[in-house]
Amino acid sequence: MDITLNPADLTHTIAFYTLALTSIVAALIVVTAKRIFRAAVALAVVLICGAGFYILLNYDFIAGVQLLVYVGGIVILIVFAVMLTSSLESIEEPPSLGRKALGLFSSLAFLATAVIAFSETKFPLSSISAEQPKDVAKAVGRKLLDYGAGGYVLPFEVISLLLLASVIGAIVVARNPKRKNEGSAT
Amino acid sequence: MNLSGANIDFTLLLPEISLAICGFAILLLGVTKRGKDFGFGLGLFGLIAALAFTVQQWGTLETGFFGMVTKDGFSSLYNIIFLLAGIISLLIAQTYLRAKKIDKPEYYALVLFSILGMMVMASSYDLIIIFIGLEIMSIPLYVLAGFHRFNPKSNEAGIKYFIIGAFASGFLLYGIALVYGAGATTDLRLIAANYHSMAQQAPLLLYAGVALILIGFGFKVGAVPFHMWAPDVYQGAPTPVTAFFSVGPKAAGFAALMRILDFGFDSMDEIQSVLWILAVLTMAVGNILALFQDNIKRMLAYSSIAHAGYILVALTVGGEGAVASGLYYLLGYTFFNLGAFAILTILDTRDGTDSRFSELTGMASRHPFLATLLAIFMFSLAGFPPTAGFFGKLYIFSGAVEGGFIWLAIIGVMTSFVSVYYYLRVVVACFFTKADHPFQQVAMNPYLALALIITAVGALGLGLFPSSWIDLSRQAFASFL
Repeated sequence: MDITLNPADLTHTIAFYTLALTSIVAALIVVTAKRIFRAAVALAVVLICGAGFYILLNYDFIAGVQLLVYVGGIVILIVFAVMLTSSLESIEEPPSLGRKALGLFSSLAFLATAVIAFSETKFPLSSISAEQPKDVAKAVGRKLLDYGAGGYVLPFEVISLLLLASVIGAIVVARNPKRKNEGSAT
Repeated sequence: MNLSGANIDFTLLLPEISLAICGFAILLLGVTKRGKDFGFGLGLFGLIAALAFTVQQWGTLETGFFGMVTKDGFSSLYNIIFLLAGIISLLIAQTYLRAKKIDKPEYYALVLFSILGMMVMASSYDLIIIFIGLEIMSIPLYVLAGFHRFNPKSNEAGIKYFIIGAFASGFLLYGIALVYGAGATTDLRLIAANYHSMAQQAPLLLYAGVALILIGFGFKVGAVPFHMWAPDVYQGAPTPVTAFFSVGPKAAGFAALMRILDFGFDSMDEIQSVLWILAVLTMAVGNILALFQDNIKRMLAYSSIAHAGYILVALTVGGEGAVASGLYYLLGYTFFNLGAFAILTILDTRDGTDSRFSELTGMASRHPFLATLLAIFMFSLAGFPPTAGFFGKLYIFSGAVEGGFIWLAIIGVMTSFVSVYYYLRVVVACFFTKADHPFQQVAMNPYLALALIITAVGALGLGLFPSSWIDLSRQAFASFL
C-alpha cells in the first residue's frame, strides 16, 4: 500500500472520526442485539473498523492480520456455530436488572480507568511516530525469526506447540462419540 | 545458516524438549491399534527424563536465546514441582481412566503439553514467553477438565474453566500491553532496572497494568475474589485431573507471580497492600466455605483456595526468607494434597461413587492402611506436626511476624485453626463413624501404591528434615536476585 497518511491531513481526521463513530455504534449493537446473528455481523463491523485504525496508523500488516484472523476467522466461526445449532438463534432469558446494573458499573469503571490511564500518560514513543517503518510486514517477519538479541525466535517456536495442543484438544472434544467401548454414561 | 555466535543453547531446554518428544510419540503411536497402550508408559518416561534433566540443571544459572529462557534454581525447583505433580497424577490416572472407559492416549499427551507450558512459564523473565507458557498450560487443561465427555458435570467443568480461563487471559494480556506501553519492554529485568523512570513517566499505565496482571494470575491460582470457578471445576473434572489441577496450574501461577512481583515490580510498594487484602480474603473465604461442603472434592477445592491464601501471605511479605518459605510450602503441598487426591481417586474408581463424606464410613476397618494414609494427608493439610504442612505454615507465619505483618499472621493462624475442623471431619468419617452399609472394596495396583508411597514419603520427609529443604528453597530464590 502506498498511500502515506499524514495525521495532520483533514481527510485523516475525517476518516478517524467516521471509523470511531461507526465502531462505537456497532459495538453497542453487538451487546444490545436480541439475535446473536445480528450481533455477529455488528462485531464484524467493529473489527473492520479496528483494521481501519491500523491502516490510519500505517500498520497495514497488523490491519491485514486483523482482517484475516478476526473478521475472516472468528466472526465466520461464530456464524457457523449459529447456523449449526438452532438453539443459539435467540438469547432467551434477558439478564436481571441487578446483573445489568453490575455489568454497566464494571464496564464503566473499566472505561474510566482506561481513559484516565491513557489520557494522563505521555507515551515515550509518541514523538518518533512520525517516521513510520516502511515495511512493517517484513520487519515483523524478520523479528520473529531473529535468533539474535531482541529477536523472537523462541516464542515463535513455542507457539507451534500451543497450536498443536489446541488442535489435539479440539479433536479430543469434537471426536465422534459413537464408537464402541468408549465412555460409560455414569 | 550460520548460527555461531547466536545465543541458542538447546541443552538448556532439554527438559522441555524431552516432554515435547514424548508427547509427539504418544500421539503418533496412538494412531495404531497396539500403540494406544504405550501412552501411559511413554508419558511417564517423558516426565522422568525431564525430571532427570532438571535435577541435572540444578545449581546452574544460565540464560539462553538472549535472555528469553532463564534456568536458575528458582525455575528448577518449580519445574521439579510440576514434574512431580505430573508423575503422581499420571500414576493414579490410568486405573481411573480404565475404570471409566475413557483411557485414550491423548490424555497423556495433553498432560505432557500442559506441564511443558508450566515449565516455559517458570523459566522466563519475558512477559511474552510467560504468557505463551500460560496458554500452553491452560488449553490442555480445559480439555482435560471435560475429558469425561459423557458426564454432564465434566462437560460443565470444561466449559466453565474454558470461559473463565479465556477471560483471565484477556485481563493478563491487557495488563502486559499496558506495562509495555509504560516501558516499551516486556523483559522483567529491564522493567526492574528502569522501574523508577517508568513510574515517573507513566505511573497510571504501570499501576493499571500490574493490577490487570494480578487479576489474570489471581484467576489461575484461585485467589478470592477470582475463585468462583474452582469448586465446580474441581468437582466436575475427572478426579486425577482435579488432583493435577490443584497443584500444577496453581504452582505455575505462583512461579510467574513471584518473578513478576518479587523481581520485576519489586519496587512497587503499593502492591503489598493489595496482596494483603487478597491473602486475607483468600484464606478466610476458602477455609470458611470449606466447612459447609458435603462433597470431598468440593471441600478440597475450597481447601486449595485457602492454601493459595497461605502462599499469598508469603508473597505479601516478600523478600528472600518469606518467598523461600512459600516455595517450601508449595513443595510440601504438592505431596500432601496430591496424596489426598490419590486416595480420593482410588475410591472414585469404584462404580457409583460421588466422593461424599458418607462414602468414607467403614473405610478404616476395611482398608486400615489406606485410611491411615488419608489421615496423615489430612493432618498435613491441617498443619499438624511433624508434617510438611506444619513447618510450612510455621515458616510462613513467623516470616510474616518478622516482616511486621502481625495481623496477617494472626488472621492466617486463626483461619487455619478453622480448617482443622473440616480436615478432621474426613478422619472422623473414616475411623469413628459407624457404617450402615459395608464399605465397598477398592482395587489396588503397583502404580497406585507407588503414587501413595511417593506422596507419603514426601509429606513426612519434608516435615522431618525441614531445615535442609528450606535452605534449598532459599538457594532457589536467591538465584534470581
